[in-house]
Amino acid sequence: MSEEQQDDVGPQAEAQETAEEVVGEQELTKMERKVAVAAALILTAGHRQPGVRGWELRRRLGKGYHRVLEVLDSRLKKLGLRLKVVYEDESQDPERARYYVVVSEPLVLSDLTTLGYSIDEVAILAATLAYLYASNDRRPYKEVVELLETKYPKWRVESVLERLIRRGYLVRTEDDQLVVGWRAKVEVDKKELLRAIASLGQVVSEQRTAQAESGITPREDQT
Amino acid sequence: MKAVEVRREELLRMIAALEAVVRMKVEPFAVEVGPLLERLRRIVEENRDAETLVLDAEALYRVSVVLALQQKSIVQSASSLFVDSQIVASKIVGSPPVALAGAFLLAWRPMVRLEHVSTPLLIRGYEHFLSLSTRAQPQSAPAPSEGPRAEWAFLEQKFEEELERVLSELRSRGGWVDYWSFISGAGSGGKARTAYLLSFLITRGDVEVRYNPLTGELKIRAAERREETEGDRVSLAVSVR
Repeated sequence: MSEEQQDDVGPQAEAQETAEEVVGEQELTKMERKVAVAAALILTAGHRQPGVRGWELRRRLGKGYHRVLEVLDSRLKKLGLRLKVVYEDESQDPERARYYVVVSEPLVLSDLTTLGYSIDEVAILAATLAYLYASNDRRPYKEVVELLETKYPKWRVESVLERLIRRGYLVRTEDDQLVVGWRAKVEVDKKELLRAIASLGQVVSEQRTAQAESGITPREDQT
Repeated sequence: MKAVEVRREELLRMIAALEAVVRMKVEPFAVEVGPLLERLRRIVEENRDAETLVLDAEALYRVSVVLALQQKSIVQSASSLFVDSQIVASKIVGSPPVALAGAFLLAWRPMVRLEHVSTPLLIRGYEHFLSLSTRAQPQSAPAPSEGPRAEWAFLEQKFEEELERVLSELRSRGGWVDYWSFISGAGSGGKARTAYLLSFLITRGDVEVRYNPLTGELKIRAAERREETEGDRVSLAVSVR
């Protein structure tokens, strides 16, 4: 190859590189735009149930929407959030699944009051969900109320359950059964909750043993 | 004969017990499938009449449903780490609310969602509102202040006008007309409406219908106008005891 020819190839190669950069930037911008659209679709809630179905995302973002969701998830992780997929049934079809954004790390008790939740309300939700999870996801409403009445007066239990039903955590069926609602399926890790509830007594007894060994009298609220 | 009756009752009892499980009134494992199948086999071997076989098939069908429910129950128990509801109930009773809330927080990842309207969205909505055509108000429609009776009278009058239009169209065709081609002539939007109006005209006797059961042809024509004369009137005698 002569020098003249090499001089000719030089600018061509530069132009090609520049073109590739432009295409790369365009691709990036396209992806950025799709990620923004995906975030808007999943995060923004109208009057109906939040979350977007897979086929809705495919229609808006194209066939490669899974790649867009991966990028979105990696961005969300930096903010302490993550993408959650809730499948409709056992077929685990991503097209029919619903996509949500949830908090990735557990909250602490002091966060509850900051966010405006009452500890009693959360305690009733925890007890009800754990009881339902251990009973194939459904129990008679009356039976659940009777269990919760061991802690709170009936009027309080019924008003909190009513609020939880309105928020989508629980469903009261026509045959007066209490069933796990769509929101609990999205927000609550069933196994983690049962594990935590099952180990409640152990934690208390371990604390008592440790206190007995160290000679510290337990406080009333720890019993 | 008595033995057959006893076996029939036994099969019916089995079916009832299995049905209770199917209807979720009893736990799936309340029925022991093994001995039940053994007994079913013995009954069929001893007696092979039609009724026993039918009842046996019915019982077997319910056994298969109960087995499916037992499998589902095992899967659900596995997903709930085989934690029994009684254990959970005892933990709930024995723990303070703060401990329950703390346990819940370990498993709870609240959903994040936004609820707001943006200026571009409002502008798009406003543009759409402006693009909508103004709804025309019929001049002859009565004002709401005139009351519901006036509104009904107006609607009835409109309906009568439409009936008259369809009837005059049918009359203009002259003679027997194929029903389907007549209602199809009104176009896709008016097809159902023409059929609806025709049903009124047929009921009133303004339109005659002729159906040929051999060819399946359905023909209609406008009935000839009959002037009501004194001779057409008939008196009916009603006796009261």
